Amino acid sequence: MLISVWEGSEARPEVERFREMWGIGATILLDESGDYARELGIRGVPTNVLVDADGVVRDVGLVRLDELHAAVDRLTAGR
Amino acid sequence: MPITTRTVAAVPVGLDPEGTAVDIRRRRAYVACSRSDTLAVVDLDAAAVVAHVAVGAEPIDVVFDERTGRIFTADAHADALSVVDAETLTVETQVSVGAYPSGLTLDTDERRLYCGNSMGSTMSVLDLDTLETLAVVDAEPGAGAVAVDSTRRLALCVNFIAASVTFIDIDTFEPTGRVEVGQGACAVGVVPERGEAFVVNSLAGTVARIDLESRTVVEELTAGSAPVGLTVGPLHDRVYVTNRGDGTVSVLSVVDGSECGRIIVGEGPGGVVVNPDDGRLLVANAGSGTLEIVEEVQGGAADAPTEDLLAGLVGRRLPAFALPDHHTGGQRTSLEWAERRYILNFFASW
Repeated sequence: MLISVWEGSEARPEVERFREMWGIGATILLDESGDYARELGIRGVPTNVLVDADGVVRDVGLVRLDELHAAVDRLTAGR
Repeated sequence: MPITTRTVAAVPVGLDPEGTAVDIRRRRAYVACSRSDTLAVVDLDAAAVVAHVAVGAEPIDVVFDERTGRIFTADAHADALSVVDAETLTVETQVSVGAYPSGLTLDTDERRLYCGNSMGSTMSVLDLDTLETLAVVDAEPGAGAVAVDSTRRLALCVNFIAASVTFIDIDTFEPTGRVEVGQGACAVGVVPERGEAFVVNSLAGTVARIDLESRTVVEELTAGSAPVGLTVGPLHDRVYVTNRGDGTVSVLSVVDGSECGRIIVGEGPGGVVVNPDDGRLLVANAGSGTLEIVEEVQGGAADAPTEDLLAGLVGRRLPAFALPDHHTGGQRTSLEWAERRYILNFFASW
C-alpha cells in the first residue's frame, strides 16, 4: 500500500492526479501532515517499509528497485 | 576532513519549495513554491519571508539576473516563465516556452536564459534582456536541468526520463551529442577548469562524473538516498547534493569524489544553492515547506547529531496507524493488514 505524505491540506486532487498519471491501483492512504511518517523517523521520499506477518519491520529505505526486490525476496523467504 | 555545520534558520516559505536563488545586493533568497504557485521572498538577515508573489502554475525552478533585477520562475503547468521585478516584486510579464518547463540556468556573459521543457523534450534559449526566444533545441524526454560550460561553448541539458544528457553548441544552438547517465537524472553542475560535469541520478542513487572532452561518464559517485538537487560550491572544490530520500545533503569532494560530510536538513530536500556572499548553504525542503540556511562551523558550535529513528525501526513492531483512504475517505487502520506481509511505500506526488 502507498502512503502519501507532506501534500498539505489539499492532498486528494494532487494524489488523484499522481495516481492517474502512473496508473496506480493499490490502496493509497493520506498522511497529510506527515505525522505518521515522522513517528517512524522518515525524513524523505520515496521510503519503503517492509512488514512481516507478525507486524515487525524487516527493512526500511530501499529506494532502488534492486534493493527493494532483494528485500522482498528476504521477506518472502522468511515465511 | 569531515565538516561540521549548524542550521541558522529553517524559514517556512510555502508548499513544496523546490528551486532557490540568491540576490546578493538585496540580501534575499527567492524560492519557487510549486504547490503554492508563489515565489517566496526571504530576507536573509531576518530569516523571514517578506513577500509572496503569485506566479504561474507550479513554479519549479527560479533564477535571478542581477543586471536587470529580474527573477524568472519556470511555471511547469503554465508552460511559461514568470518574469518578476525584484524591486517592485510584481510580475512584469510571462513568456511562453515549451511544455512543462522545469529547469533554468543563466549565462550572464552571453545574456541568455536556458530552460529545459520536460514534456516538450526541448530546451528553450531566451535573450535575457529582450526576452525574445532565440532557439528551441531538441533534447530528450524529461528535459529539465541545464548547465553551461562557457569554456567549451556547451550547454548540457539533463533528460530525466531518457536518463541522458544532451550536449548543445551555444553558438549554433545545435545538439552535438549525448551521453547516457543513470536513471532519474535531474540536476547538473559544471566545473569548467577541470573539464567535468556532475549529474545526479535520483533513481539510480548516484552522481555521475562526466568528462566534457570525451563526453563520457568516468565515475559514479555515491551520495544519499534519492539524490535530486546539486550545486557546485563557489570554490569549485565541492559539490553539494540534496538527498530527497533521507533528508540530508551530501558534500562531495570534486577532486576525489569522496563524501566529506552529510548534513541533516529538513524533510524531502530538493533545490540547493550556496550564497556566494557568506558561503551559507540554502536548501529548499519540499516536505517541510522550509528554506533551510546552513553554515559550516569550526569548533564546538555544530548541531548535535540527530538520532536516526528510521534505522532503529528494523526489528521493532510497526507503530499502529489510522489514516484516511484516498479513494473512500474512510479511516483505515493497521489492524486490517494484521498477519499479512506488506510494503508501505511513503511517497509524495511532487
